[in-house]
Amino acid sequence: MVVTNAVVCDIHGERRVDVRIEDGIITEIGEGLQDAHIIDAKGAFLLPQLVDTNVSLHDDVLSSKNIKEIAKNALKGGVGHIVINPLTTPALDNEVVIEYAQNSLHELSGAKVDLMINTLKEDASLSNIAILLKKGAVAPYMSTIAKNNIAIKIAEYVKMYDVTLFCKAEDNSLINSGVMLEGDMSSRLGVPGIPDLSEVLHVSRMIEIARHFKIRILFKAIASPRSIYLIDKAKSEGVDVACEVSIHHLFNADSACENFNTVAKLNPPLACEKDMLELRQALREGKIDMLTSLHQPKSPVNKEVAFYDAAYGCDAIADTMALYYTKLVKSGLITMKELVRLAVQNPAAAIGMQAGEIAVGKTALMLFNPHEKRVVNNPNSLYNHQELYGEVTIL
Amino acid sequence: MRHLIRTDDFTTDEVKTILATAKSYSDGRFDRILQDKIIITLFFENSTRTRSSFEIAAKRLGAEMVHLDVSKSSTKKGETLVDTAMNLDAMGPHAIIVRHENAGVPKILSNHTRASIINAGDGAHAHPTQALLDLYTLTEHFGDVKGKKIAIVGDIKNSRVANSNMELLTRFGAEVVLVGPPQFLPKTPLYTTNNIRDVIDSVDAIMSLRTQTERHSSQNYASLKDYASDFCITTEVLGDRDVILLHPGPVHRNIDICDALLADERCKVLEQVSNGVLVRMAVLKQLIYGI
Repeated sequence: MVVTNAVVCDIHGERRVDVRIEDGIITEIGEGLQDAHIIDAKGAFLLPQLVDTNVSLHDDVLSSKNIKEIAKNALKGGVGHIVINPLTTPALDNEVVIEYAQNSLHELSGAKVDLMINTLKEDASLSNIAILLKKGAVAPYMSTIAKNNIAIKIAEYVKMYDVTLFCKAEDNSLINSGVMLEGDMSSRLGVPGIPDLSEVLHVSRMIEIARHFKIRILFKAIASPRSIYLIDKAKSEGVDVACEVSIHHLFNADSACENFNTVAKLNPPLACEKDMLELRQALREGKIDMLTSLHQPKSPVNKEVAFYDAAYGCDAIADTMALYYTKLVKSGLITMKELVRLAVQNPAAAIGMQAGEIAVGKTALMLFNPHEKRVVNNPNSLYNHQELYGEVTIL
Repeated sequence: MRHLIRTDDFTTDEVKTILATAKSYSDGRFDRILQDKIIITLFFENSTRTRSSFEIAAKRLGAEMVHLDVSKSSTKKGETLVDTAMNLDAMGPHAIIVRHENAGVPKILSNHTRASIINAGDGAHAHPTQALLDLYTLTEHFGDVKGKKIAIVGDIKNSRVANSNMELLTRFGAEVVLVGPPQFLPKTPLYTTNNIRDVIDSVDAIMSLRTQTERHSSQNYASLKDYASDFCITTEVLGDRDVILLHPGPVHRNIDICDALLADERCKVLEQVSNGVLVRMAVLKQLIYGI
């Protein structure tokens, strides 16, 4: 088939050309292409499918049913490639579970699914990182609850295998004493808070580890602008660090927890209004490297309970592209080309893959019609009842 | 149906009505306007005095009480709070009085009930009837709290009593100042200090709080004794100043307030307890009977 009249947008920018796609692969790009099957995509974008490296399974339960479900939902949101977080039950920290999960990845319909492995076992000792990486996991994950002796060993593994370490910066003693950001809002609600220092302290510590071992660290779902400042400063000194921020942290502050709204109970916790605006400014200034839908779907039994007891997370992945477009591109915060870099090229590069270019031989494409609008109807979404623009058609 | 989750669920006029109604009950009158009404008490967290106070208030108004003893674990056995709310509500009570160790539980219940939900304390969030009885006690003493300076002393960050009083007392024109060590002070626009002596000469009333050791997930103070060395309200601190002393109870003797001051006539703790019944009668009347 030939897609005509679309705005073709990739990491190089926007152009108006016809694209011939056969069996999902681009075979020709040019003008005036002819075919029996022509798709007139006037008004729409032709884009590479998104890549999201921070996706959790339903209630964090690792099962083939949940993997099938997420692959399907991801594609609805224009996300063609996802990496599953390893903090599942059972956890992705041993060979048996990895093999079990790999078996569920065969004959999936929907997005391509990859696995991230936890470098720490439940007792915070090292997992068999070498074996797990060779079994096909795309990236190692580490929470900074790891003590320094263990974190250093993980850094050495990461160096040996030349992979990016996906790091969740959090302080064990502080995350266990609160359930939302400590601030005016937590005081008002009487909910125990986690100081933003929890993240900042460990970003600072891991930057030193990255500097010392000359490894790549990607900080997952950063919520504090102070962390971004530290990461940006380290980059300018030649340290190979980068950060990911979720769409939620750019557009929702801790005030979303008003009335004990458990949908807004996220991990990491939503920042205060001022910090949220600073995060947005950092995005504008190009200091954020990649975006995530931070999809952490939870059942009502884990959400319709006291705020303190409620599970962390909200639904997002099926609305990803519409959310990114409406909040980021339509609003003029970033261009579509930048979005492709932040939501396709950089996350793919972090797991050692190349994506984000529309050229002969490339696959994983979508049409995105930004003129279609709809109202979100999902009580587990932070954007319930909001109007979002854009409809995804997978090619 | 109206609920009372936080003090700001009542307008200033409604609060004034409640104070007036409470005053009208202060002669010990029984007013059986809630005959044939059923009130459920749903206490997920232990409480002797608040529950008794509500029960006596309800009985003086002629209501029937049903006590549900809910063990902490019942919501963890696969039932959500929404299920709990809808099941209780299906039995048709007129009001449900709720206490829970976690902030927000009464609010969540109120989203799903026809019965009035009355918050009898939720986590460190709110304790509206306590703040109303404190306002009543202060108003009885001063005539009007407007322009009066009230120091709240202690573990303010973990105190639902402080949270509700900060809203209600400032709304009625009192100047509220907060006194405590840094780890017990919330982020707030109110004046705060770590030293009681900074404000002792300018305050009209002191509200001492109980240190909420059960709401501390990690050690916040070396010991209660160490805390008391700075923040216990003693005869030595108070001197012979014309300052009244409040405490939501139960008082931790010689940690929150010293023995001698508890026996002093400036201490209004027992008056607060008596006023609690009157104010709760007025609240029940307002929510169930309507005015």
